[in-house]
Parts: sequence; structure tokens; C-alpha cells
Amino acid sequence: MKKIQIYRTAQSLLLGLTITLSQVSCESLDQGNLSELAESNLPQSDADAQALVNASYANNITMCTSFMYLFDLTTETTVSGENPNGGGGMLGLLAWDGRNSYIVSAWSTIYTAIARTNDAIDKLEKNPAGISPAIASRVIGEAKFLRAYWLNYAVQIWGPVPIVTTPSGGKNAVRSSETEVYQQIVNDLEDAAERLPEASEYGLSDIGRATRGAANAALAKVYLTWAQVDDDLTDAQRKEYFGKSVQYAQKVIDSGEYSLEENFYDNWNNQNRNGKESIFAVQCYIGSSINGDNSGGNHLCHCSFSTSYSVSLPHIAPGPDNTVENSYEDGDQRKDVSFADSLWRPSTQSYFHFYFDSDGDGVRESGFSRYNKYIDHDSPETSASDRAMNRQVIRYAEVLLVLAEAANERDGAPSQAAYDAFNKVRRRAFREDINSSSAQPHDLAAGLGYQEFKDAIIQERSWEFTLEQKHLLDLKRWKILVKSIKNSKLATDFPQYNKQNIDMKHYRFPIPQAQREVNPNLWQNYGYDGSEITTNPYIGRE
Amino acid sequence: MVKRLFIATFVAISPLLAVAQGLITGHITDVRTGEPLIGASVIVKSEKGQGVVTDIDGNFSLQTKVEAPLTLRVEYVGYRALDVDVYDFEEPVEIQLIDNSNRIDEVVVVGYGVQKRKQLTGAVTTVKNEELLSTSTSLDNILGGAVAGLDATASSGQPGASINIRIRGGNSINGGNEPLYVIDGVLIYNSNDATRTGASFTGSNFNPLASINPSDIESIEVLKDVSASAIYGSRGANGVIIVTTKNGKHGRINIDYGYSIGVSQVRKRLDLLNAEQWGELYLDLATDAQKAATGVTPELVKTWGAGTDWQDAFFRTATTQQHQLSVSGGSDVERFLISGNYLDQNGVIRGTDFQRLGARINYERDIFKNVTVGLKSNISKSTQRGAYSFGSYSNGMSGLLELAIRTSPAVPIYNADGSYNYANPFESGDFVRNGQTPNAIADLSEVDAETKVDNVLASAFASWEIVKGLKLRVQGSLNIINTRQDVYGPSTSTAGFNTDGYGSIGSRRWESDQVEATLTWNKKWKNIHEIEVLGGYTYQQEKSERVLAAAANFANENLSYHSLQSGSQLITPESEFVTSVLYSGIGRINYSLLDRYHLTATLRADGSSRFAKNKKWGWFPSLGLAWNVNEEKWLKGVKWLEDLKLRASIGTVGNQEIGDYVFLSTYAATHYYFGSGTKNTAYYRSGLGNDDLKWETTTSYDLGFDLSLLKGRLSFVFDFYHKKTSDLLLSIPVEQTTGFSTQLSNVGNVTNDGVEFAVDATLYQSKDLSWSVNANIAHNKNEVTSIGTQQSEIINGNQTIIRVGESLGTYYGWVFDGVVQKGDDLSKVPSPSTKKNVEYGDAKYVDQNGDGVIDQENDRVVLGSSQPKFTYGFASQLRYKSWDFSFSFQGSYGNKLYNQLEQALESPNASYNASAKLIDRWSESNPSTTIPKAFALNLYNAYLDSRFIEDASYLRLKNIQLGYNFKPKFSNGTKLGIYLYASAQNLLTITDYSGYDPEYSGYVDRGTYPAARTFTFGVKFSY
Repeated sequence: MKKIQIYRTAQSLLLGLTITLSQVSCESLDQGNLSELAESNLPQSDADAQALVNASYANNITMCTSFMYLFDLTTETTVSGENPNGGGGMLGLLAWDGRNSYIVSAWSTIYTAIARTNDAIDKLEKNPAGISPAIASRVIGEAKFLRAYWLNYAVQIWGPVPIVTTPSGGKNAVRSSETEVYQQIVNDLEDAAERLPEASEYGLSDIGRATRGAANAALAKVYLTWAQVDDDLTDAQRKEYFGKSVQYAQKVIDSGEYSLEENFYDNWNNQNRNGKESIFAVQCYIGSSINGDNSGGNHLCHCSFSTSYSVSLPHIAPGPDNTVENSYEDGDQRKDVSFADSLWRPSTQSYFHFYFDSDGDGVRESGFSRYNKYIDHDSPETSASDRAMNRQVIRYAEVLLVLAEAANERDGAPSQAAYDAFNKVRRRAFREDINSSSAQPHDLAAGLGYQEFKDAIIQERSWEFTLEQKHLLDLKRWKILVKSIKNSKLATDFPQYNKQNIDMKHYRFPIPQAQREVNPNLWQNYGYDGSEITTNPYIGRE
Repeated sequence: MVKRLFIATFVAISPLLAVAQGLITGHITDVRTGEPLIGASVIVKSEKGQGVVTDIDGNFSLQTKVEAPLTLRVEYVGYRALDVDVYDFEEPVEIQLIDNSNRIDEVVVVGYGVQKRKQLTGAVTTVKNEELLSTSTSLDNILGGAVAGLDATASSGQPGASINIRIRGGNSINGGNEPLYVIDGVLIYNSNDATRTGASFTGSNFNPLASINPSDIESIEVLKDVSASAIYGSRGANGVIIVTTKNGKHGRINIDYGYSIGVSQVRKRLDLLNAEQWGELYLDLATDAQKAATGVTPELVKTWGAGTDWQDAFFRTATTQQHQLSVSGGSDVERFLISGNYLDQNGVIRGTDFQRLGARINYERDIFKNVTVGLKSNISKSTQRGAYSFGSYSNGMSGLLELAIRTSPAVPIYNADGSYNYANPFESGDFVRNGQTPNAIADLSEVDAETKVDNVLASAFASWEIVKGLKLRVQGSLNIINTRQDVYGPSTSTAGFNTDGYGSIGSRRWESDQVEATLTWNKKWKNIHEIEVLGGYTYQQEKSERVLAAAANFANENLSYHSLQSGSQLITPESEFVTSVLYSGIGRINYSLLDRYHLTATLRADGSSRFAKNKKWGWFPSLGLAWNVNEEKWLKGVKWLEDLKLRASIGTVGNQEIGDYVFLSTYAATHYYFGSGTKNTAYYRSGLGNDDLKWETTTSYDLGFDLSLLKGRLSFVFDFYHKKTSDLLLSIPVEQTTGFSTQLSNVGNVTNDGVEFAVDATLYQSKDLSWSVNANIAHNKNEVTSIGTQQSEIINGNQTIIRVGESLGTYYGWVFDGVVQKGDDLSKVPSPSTKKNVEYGDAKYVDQNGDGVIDQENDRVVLGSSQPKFTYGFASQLRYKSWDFSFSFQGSYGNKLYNQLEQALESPNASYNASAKLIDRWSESNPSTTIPKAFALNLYNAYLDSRFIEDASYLRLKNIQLGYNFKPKFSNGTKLGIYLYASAQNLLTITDYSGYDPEYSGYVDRGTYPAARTFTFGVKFSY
């Protein structure tokens, strides 16, 4: 009897305990992340829809310097003051390989950014509830613009590259031909141009988003480049694409949305962000950085002035030969905006000289100038740490020069329209009346033939677009990469910068080695470790 | 092995003639300490039920009807029972009992219970060093060198910093490698993450265990093999450390007070260039433009002399003070301990300190004859200050220590007016702004960096013996760690330099709630079968909430971080909530046959929210066997053999320290600016999920024996083990064209094979003199056997490689091959891929593939491992009358360490100071074969070079102590014990390592906070 009671007591206590415990332990084993959204929660509003595409814009922040390292430092214009064994240093010394950190991160950032656009497009094409059709369409337009923007960089860096257009895509990716890639780019841009508003149609709070003007300007440049670089095109196609380039450039001009800044400097003046000449720019404000350093994230500012007012060489600088700086004609306002051999220093109220002049005759014996475009003149002493200037990606001046170049290519000779566009850029440089119908002192000499006009464009672009992440790409599309760099003063007089090592293989960057290990479909470009291409495919380019 | 080893080998008996019967009186004391034993029971063996207990002075008087001679049976918990023959009742009987620590019938704390050491099948080491526990400021002093196979190394010498503990080698590459701590039944994975708030520039090096006062600790058990640790299932793979805090004992009230004061200094200083020597180097390196800018000329350099010793200004002589007070006691039905402690420890780097104020209440009461309830609680607040880390863009400097010692000795710390000098003309790059440079010494006092941690650790239990042999135990516990980190870097400091002041406040509230219920049943049948069955259920939930606010650009810096709203640049705040739950069922059967064949079978099932949906539950079984060989008949007669036990175990445990939510694919937030600088939210998919992600699995076996000879005066423990860890959590590279770079997967294997050997010996034991020594040594071989099918190696930057066939922590770099000398054929010297023009005086490297070019791709080789071949320790205790003397050594052999600080110091440039070795640098007149010539843009310093992989083997005198114990007699009979001691920590270190300290838990030593050498004087009063 007693025993039974004990057992009963024990039983009821155990039962009570079990109930108590199960009440205490009410949490499920399926614990979701409460600090990050689940896929099912997105997108629910217009703001969500925009947030999805904003993520692809954000990838631009980290690429500001990467594109400089890839497209400026690699050429005869620029040298590096950083450790030459780092990824940047190696790019500058033309020692490129498939493990270079900048090449590796360019691949990963570009395809990450493309995946973000694919995700946005995929979600918004399903017409999710809660999102207004107008916003959905515009966001799809922005995403397609950005997808084309990123793919356009990819094809210019590596040549044939994988095309990924769906969120689940990208597995067992193969390198599509340049023709296919450019076709994808123009398809996206043409659809984007349909969907996107003009810059003036955006509200103030949306300035900086992709616009119809940006899509058209990009189309002009892409058609020009495509026609120049794609060896598989027929002559008829080339002519057609040069024509399309001219048409799209003309559309931008005709839109009336843009005009040249009278002061060239206003393109980098922080008091004039997204000014009338700016068509597409990377927005860098204090706090923009996604590296956690609270800066604007534009490392062009950091790298070109990292040593501030000192004679130590910053991460990037014009070479000691000063070829470009010395080549400007007198009176060209672009020279002092682009280069600084001295800089006004507010804290000492005097000019600081970056060069070394031992005998004081005002002629430098040694030392380098600074790239001046990405020094924030509102606050030069903190420019390198603030890094809060927009990176100009497409300026109206380029649309004019693209039109001039494409018309010259299409027609085999410069038309009046080509001259007019070209001269606008020259007139602004010399502070002349840009839109005057009469000739101006610095207008290009009339009656040039195709090649002379092309040479003028080549020269003009080097003055106009110093440190604007275009030079290497220009040399490649003009097919003068090797000879331009090999014959440069930097290569011949300063062998320590290794520019004399330029080679045909440098027409393309190597595919990241680690990606080739994950995906054997990614064949390596000619001239790099692991490439199976034995004959130089670029022969005859120069 | 710093175990209590005093094993008495004689028994004091008073053989007297039998003349009377009636009242027996006597006095019972501890043979070792001479302390009276209170509450010991005394019975007359032949007289059933007639017994007494000793009073508070250890005296007893017993009335008996039995005539002399008779035999008394004396029993006392924790001591060997003794039979004493009494022949005479007239004289008081003096009885001395021998404590039974390290004895075969000693009770050992194991997971969810206790077990007789004799019946233990697992490899368990007990650390019970009362002297060390009561005089140390942290746990690592106690564990380092004390346990075979346990490697304890400091992550930093900063007071309050965490220690890294590896039991039988590391198992995991990306997961946690720290053991599980069980503190009074509360399971804690000791991770710095619990006290991290994300505030920049804080040390991020606060050890949550630093909240525990070592003198409150009764014992520490280290569970090394799977038989012992499998009861902890998915948290047992890295071994388990069970910490049991003290409680009062039956008898009179004890009051203990201790005070100590210590003085600490850095063990060594590095040999650096003085101002004049550095000036000559500068003249070699600087460009004409730089020399013109700084105005340095050869004539000026000659006037510089020694210049400023920045290193000396950085370090200081620091004091440590500690107060400890505890009151404990108990009666028939209750036991308690109340203690308080205060520690104020200054660091050897200026501006760094650690304070702890803590209180403990442990209480236990038998509320009914078969029901006991109790509470163990610890509350503490700790503050750690100073020595913050750098953010990004620090000009290649790893931290303040490096910046200080590399600042040019030609630059003064102070201006003539005594203010800090913020104008270093040689500084370059990221550290020049507005014509101003930071000053590392100023940073030490001007930058606020504080981590404040409040820690509550409490557990309450009730235990009910339902019927004899069947016991229910329920325990609920709570651990709350509240951390706040405050940082302010003024605009003159490295922390606030780029942003005109930077302030940040971070807070994290980390909480763990745990409930467990166990039912234990044991029964014995006629001394043949003995069985104990344990079944239980536990539930644990962890929650962690974090918030971080920061601002920059302060117009007025007086308010520091107390007014973040004063900053004009507001930095995006962050908040985070993380939770995890773990449900477990546990079961264990202990079975003994004839009290000499033992079996332990355990099983734990863990369901964890950290595992992906297809792998929610893991099962972890183990089996252990032990055989007391000496109890076999054929060995019974061997008198010198006290004990011989063979042990074997096999089983599987897991490691669930893989992080929270890592299996999920979610959308993270970032930002982009539109309009005139308006922040817009951006969402992006933050990772590829993995529905099969689970714990890392470690399967292991252990074979060992315990041997004890000469009545326990000499004992050995030997273990051999093999551990195979599979399902390693690795980031597998995926095609980046998918938008992602890696996916976490359970692939890869690591094995650890090792042997451990420990010996304890009592060399001499008498009432006045005892001397014991103990030593242990362990060898562990760690090997990566697989890192998935897609790859055979993972190179981590420029330092280490994870390669199949090598151990974790393997260094990978170029092999230094001397210096190019005049007369060498320059065209035949393999050149670095970026420097075609090899010059005389350049460093040479071995061209592994013979292609004439030194590159990262083809010319790097394995340069050794940070894993030691052997770890060892030895200690000795000597006691003579009232004096005692002890020391303990800790050693490590065969481990390499990358001395990156030395590499930086040997890579000169025109901005920073360098190693004094560069005086001997190559020049045409001094053709050095070891130190290349100096040139400004050093091509090699970014890469690992075999010169800087140093042998970090060491032997360290961890602790040495001399004490004196005396008992002044007061007229009123008060008995006061006074113990005076002097000790030294890290007094002696024998090593070839050239950096500050060879004992470092990381792979790369870039100027870690050096360990201090400390002299301590203390006194303890006990009443």
C-alpha cells in the first residue's frame, strides 16, 4: 500500500515536471534569423522594390578604385606608390595573373552585382502585390541598365564572358562570344531606355538613378566599342553599329537634358554633384562606404592623395615623365583640373610643391605631380579620408566625342556633325563660346581625313578623360595598346615601371584562376597560365 | 600535474596497555596540515550503534562498555577510514587521518553526476591545487602545464584577456575549438563573441571566464576522452572542463581573508635602433625630395644621439591588488559559502587595466530527509580598459604597440611645453592629416576604450531521493552577460584621426537559460553487480541582443562618448538579435561487475536550431570499459602494486559551434545614396543556404591505463588516442557567376593522434616534511586529411595553408637563401617576378621550380606549423614544518610562430624605426649574409619569408611560490591561521623566440600584448 502511494506520488510529480518543462521550453528548433529578412518577405512595397535594385548600385562603391587600377594604372599614364607586390602594384607592372586580387574581386563583384539585378528583375516581373506597376517597370529598367553596365565592364576586361540573366543561373557557366555578350547588353539597354525616365523626370530624391539619357549614352558607347572590337562582325554590321552609336548619341544630345559645364572643374566640384554634364555617376557621400570606414568609399580620392601634403608617393600618381601633363596646349583649363604639381594648402595659406626643385629655378628635378580630379577642393586636407566625391562614369563630353568618333568610323571621314561635336569639347576646354556658329580659335583644323580625325580624338580623349577609368579600354578598342605603351616615355625612360613588358596578351585580363578550378568551362585567355590557346589570337590588331 | 599529492604512508596509533574501561577521549587531525577535523565519526567497532562525532576542536569523548583493547572505526568524508586499536583509556587517543585525494576511491565530478575514480572508464584529470587557486588572478595560470594534453595559451597578455585552450589538439577549421565549460552544472561555450559589441577600436579580447574568481573554485575536472565527454553530445568534441565551486562543510564557521599585491613588468624589450642609427638608415633610404622636406642632413643626424625610447615610454611597471573574503560553514542540514572579491590589475602597457568586483553565494539545505535544495550564484562586474586595436587604413600598422616602437626615435614624445607632440615629419600616408600625425603614447592616455561586463551566473537545484537508489534532480540556471563598450578617439588619436573625433557605444546582452532534469537509479547486488542508470532531459536557450551607435566629427571633444549627438557625422546604427535553442535527451549506464569490470555507455540526442532543417537532430553515443587488473586474484599478493586500471573508450561527439543561421539564405541590408546624399536602403541575398548543414562530428577512441605503486606514492597515467573529425564546416568555393563566392558545407576531415603521459610521485612524506613532484607530457599530431573533393589546399592570404597531409596552422612561404654578394652572377640569381634587376645586397630566395623567377604561385613551401610536437609541464611541492615551497613549469616544443613584427622591423623605410639588426645590414664594406641591404620600397615585406618563421618552443617557470603558515595562540583560545607567501609568475622563460613572448595562441605575432612577469606578495588569514 505504502509503496503504491510512493509510486503514484512519483508519477504525478514526473507528469507535472514534464508539463512544466514543456511549457518552459516553448521555443521551436526552427529559429529564423530575426535580424535579416527571409526571401518570402520581399518585396512588399515600392520601397522594397527599389531596395532590391539599390543593392546593385551599391556594388559600384567598391569598384571605384578597382576600375582605376585595371584601366589607368595598367597604362603608360600612371604609376603606383604602393607595394609593388600587392595586387595593384602587379597590375601596374603588367605582371597579371589569374590570382591578382583586383582581377579576382572584379569578377566576383561584377557577377554579384549582376545576380542582384537578376533577383530584382525576376521578382518584379512576377507583378508582386503591393508594388505599383510604374515603379516595378522603372526598377526593372534600372536593373537592366545595371546588368548591361556590369556585363559591359566584364566583356571589356575578359572578352567572351558568361551571360547570366536569371537568379538561379550561373551554374556551369560558359563563356559566350563577344557578339552574344554585346547583343545581350544592347537588348538590356534598349529595354531600359524604354522604361526609364529622363533625368529631369526624376524627383530630387532619386537623382543618381539610371536614366533614359544614361541608357542612350551607354548604347552609343557600347555600339561604338562593339563595332570596333568584335572580330566576328561583318563590315555591314560594323557600319550599322557605328550608325546606331551616332543615333543614340544624337538622342542624348536632342533630349536637351545635358550640356557641358563651362568650368571643367565643376564636373568634380562637390558643390555641383550630378551637374548638367553628368549623365551617370557613382554616388559617394560620407557614409556611402560599405567597407565600414564611414567614408564616402570613393578610393580614387584616397589613392590619388593618400599621402596628402607630402612628397611621399601616393597609391597612384602620374608617372615621373609627366607626358600627358606637359602635352596640354596653353590655355587648356583641363590641365590644372587634371594635374597638380603644387596645391594650395589652407592650413598654411601657401602652395605646397609635390615635386623637388633643389636649385629653386621652378623646374622640377624629380618628384611627381598629383592627380587633381579626385582631390576634394572643399577640404583637400581631409579628401583622402573622406573619399566623398562622385565617380564620373558617363559625362556629356564623352557623348559628344563618341558621336564624333562613331560618325568618323561610319563615314570614313569626319562629317560636319562630327566636327561640331568634337569642337564643343575643345571650346569648353579653352573657355570659348561652346555653341557659337562661328569658328573659335581652338577649333580643330578643318578638312582632316579619317585617320587625322581619329588621331585628334585619341589625343583629345587623353586630355579630357585623365584618370576617368577609360584609357586602357580606349587603347584596346583602337587596337594600339602595345605600341602606345611600348613607345611611351614612361616605358623607355623609366624601366623600373615595367611598362616595356606590354604584350599582345594584355588585350585581355586573365580569368580568375580559382573560378577556373570551380568551373572548367571557363577557358583561360591567351598568354596566361593554363591557357590552351597557343597561337596569338590578337595578331593583326596592330 | 599540480594535484594534491600528499599521501600519508604512516598511521599514528597510540599502542598502550589496557588497564581500564569506560570513557575514551581523543583528538582527530589531518595528517598533513595538523588541522583538527570537525564532525568525524568515531565508533567502537564491536559495539553496534555507539558512535560520536568530533567537536569544533576535533575532540571526542566516547562512553563504551567494551573493555580494552578495542578497535575504533574513524570515518570522515574525504579521508580514508581508519581502524585504531586502543589498549588504554587513560591517555587521549591522537588520531591522524589521511585525505584521500588522488585515491582510488576518490569521487570525481563527471557530466551530470559523480563517479568513483576506480570505476571511471574515461580519461579525466582533476586539478585541485588549492594554493594556486587561491592566489591566482585567472584560470590560465592554473590550467597551463597542469594537465597532459591540455594546451593553454594566452591570446594576449592584456589583463582580463581570454585564453585559448586546446584539449588534444584542434579539430575544427572554421568552427569553435574551445572546450565546453560546465560551471556548477551550467554549460557555457566560452567565446569572446558574447562580450563583443562591434564597437571599433576596442580590444575585443574580454574573457567571459574572467568573471569567475579562482579562489571560489573547489576543483576543475578536465574530460578528455569520448567516454567522459559524450554525455555533452554536440558540444563535447573539444573536451569539457567542469568547474565546481566551493561550499561550506559541516562544522564550525570558517572565515578566510586574503590580500595580495603584485608588481608586473614586461619580460623583455626588443632591440631597436637609436636616433642616430636610425638617422643613418634614413639617409640611405629617403629620396632627395623627402630629405629636403624633413631637412635631415648627415650633420644633423650626428647630433641626434640616442633620441627617444618610445618602447620604454609605452610600457610601465604595473601593480595588481586583490582582496578576497569568504565565510563558509554548515550544520547537519545546510552548507553555505559567501564570498566577495576585488581585483585591480594594471597592465604593463600604460593605460590598460582590469578590475573585477564579485560576490558569490552558495547555499544548500536538506529540507527533508530525502530532499535537498541549493543555489550557486555568482555576480560580478568587470572593467577592462585600454590598448585598443586599429581599424582599417592604419598605414600598415597592426596596432598601437607597433606604432609606438616603430615611431622614429628622432621624434620626441612631448613638446618642450610638456604637451604631446603631434608633428612627426617622417610619418607618411594614412597617418598624416591636416599637417598632424598621431602619437602612440598620447593615444594610451587620450583614447577611451572600455569594456564593462556584468555577469550573473546562477543555478538552483532540488534533488529528491524518491526511494532508496532513485534520485531526481532538477536544475534551472541562468547566465546573463551584459556588456557595454565605450570608445572615444579624439581627433589627435589614431582612432579619431581620420574623422575629427570618433565615438562609439556598443552594448550586448547575452543570455543563456538552461533547465535540466535527471533521474538516477542505482543498485548493488551482493557486491557482484552494481548499476547506475541516468536518464535526463535538458533544454538551453541562448539569446543575444546587440546595439551599436557611433558618431564622428566632433566640434567639441570634451564630452567624449557621453554625447554622441555632438558628432556632426552620424554613423548608421546597428542592431542584431540572435537566438538559438538546444533540446537534449541524455542517458548513461554505469555497470560494474565484481567491482573490477566497469562499463559506461552513454547516449545523447541533441536537437539544435543551429542545424539546418534536414539535420535537426544528432545522436552521440559512446562506450567505455575499465578493468581494475590489480584486484584479480593473481595480482592480489603483489604488495607494491596499489592500483592498475586499464581503460578503453570509443564514441562520437559533435561540435555545434558553427554559428547561428549559417544554413539560411537571407537578405541583408546595405545602403546607397541618391538625391543630395539621402541614404537609401538596399537589400541583397547574403548567402547560399544549405539545408543539410549540421554539426562537425568527432569520432575517437582512447586506450589508457592508470598505475599506482608503493601505496600510491608513485602513480602513472598513460593514454593513447585517435580522433577523427569529419563533416568539417568549410566554405566551398562555388561559381561566382551565381552571384556567390562560397557555400558552407560539411566536408573535410581532420585527425588528431596523440599520447599522453603523467607521473605523480611523493618522494618523501612525514609530519614535518613532504616533497612531491609531478610531471606530464603529451604529443599530438594534427593532420588535415580532406578539405572536400574540389580542392586539396586552401591558402590563407600570405601566411598559412590548409593542405591535405599537413597540420592546421601550417606556414607557407618563400625560403630565404642568403644575400646576393658581390661577385655573384646576377643573371643567375632567380629574381622576384616584379623585380627583374637583382642587385648586390638583395635577399635571395630558393627557386623551388627552377624557372628563374621567384613568385608566390610556384616558389612557396611549407615552413612548419604552429602546432607543438610536445606540450609538457612539471611541478613540485615541498613542505617543511610551517614552510612550503612550490613551483610549476609549462613547456611547449616544436611549435613555430610567424614573427611578423620582426619582419616589419627588418623591412626598413623612411618613415619608421627598425630592428637594431639593421646596423649590420649588407653594404659593400659589410657583406652580410643574413641582413639584406636597405632600400626604401622593400619588395618582399608583404610576403612570408622563412627567416621570420621562428621556433617558438619554450619552457616557462609559470609560477613559483614560497609560503609560511603559522598559528599564533591567543590568550582567549582564538585560533587564527596566518599564511604569508611570496610568488612570481613567468619569472623565467627559456626560448629562442626573438619576439616579446613565445606563448601566443594565434598564427601571426604582430606585436601582441606581451605577457607580464609578476612578483606577488600576499597574506591569508583563516579563522
